[in-house]
Amino acid sequence: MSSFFNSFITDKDEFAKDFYREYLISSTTEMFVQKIKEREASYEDIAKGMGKTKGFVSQILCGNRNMTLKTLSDLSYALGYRVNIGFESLPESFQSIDDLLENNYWQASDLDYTPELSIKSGGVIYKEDEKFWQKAA
Amino acid sequence: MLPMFKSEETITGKKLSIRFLDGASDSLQAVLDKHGNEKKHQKWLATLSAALCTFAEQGNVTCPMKVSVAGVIPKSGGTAANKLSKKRKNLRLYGWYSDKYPKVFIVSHFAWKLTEKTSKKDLNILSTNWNRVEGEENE
Repeated sequence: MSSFFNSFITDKDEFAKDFYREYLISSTTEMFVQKIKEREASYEDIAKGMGKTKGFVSQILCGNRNMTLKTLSDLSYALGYRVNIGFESLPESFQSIDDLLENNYWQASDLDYTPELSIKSGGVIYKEDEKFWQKAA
Repeated sequence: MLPMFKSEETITGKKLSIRFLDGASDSLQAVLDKHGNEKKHQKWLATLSAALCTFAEQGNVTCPMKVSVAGVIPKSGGTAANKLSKKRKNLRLYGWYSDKYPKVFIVSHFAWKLTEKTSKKDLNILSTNWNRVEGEENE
């Protein structure tokens, strides 16, 4: 239980709204950063996979640009994941920030096939087998 | 837990625990007293606390606040001073990864900064606090 910020919070409702938004941004970005490390991929590899520039990927992951749902999905796909979004009810009240985070609500699920442009160990795999498309469809 | 920490203030995640030294709250209050207004304070604190929760849960945080090296803590034998900061925003948190307590990040103090470089004043505060927690007198 962390009460450190309690004495500084003057409007709990406003704080909780801002906290959830900021936590979604920081935790989602960090998940991507860690998945990229696991894949040993570079921003350049990911940019190729997404059909975007390295600068675009950098801006997304450095917080200089808001991530749209389209970008969220495309970035996940380039890394070999699909996005799975769920909802959790808000707590009726909270005594500390721990109460706000009983469940995480964003997760990445492994794809059960290899996407056409996916990052594997630092390289982009170009998958051209027609059977792949039948399976994917 | 040493008396300079309050256990109820610790942020605990899967990767790290974040402990606040006893002067950290006063240094945060001092920054808020001098800068911004109540509405801005609530937004800064939401961003800061969300970043700290991500840091504790995932072991790092890069957006919108980022953990990075701020220098070397004087008289610490080479321990890196870390900062949690946001581009274009000036509320900054200083601390270090504890040698004495595994998987614990110690928050030394908060400061309002206009430049990227860590000041001597902040490094001296870090040095004093590092010695209080990690120094031999606490063996």
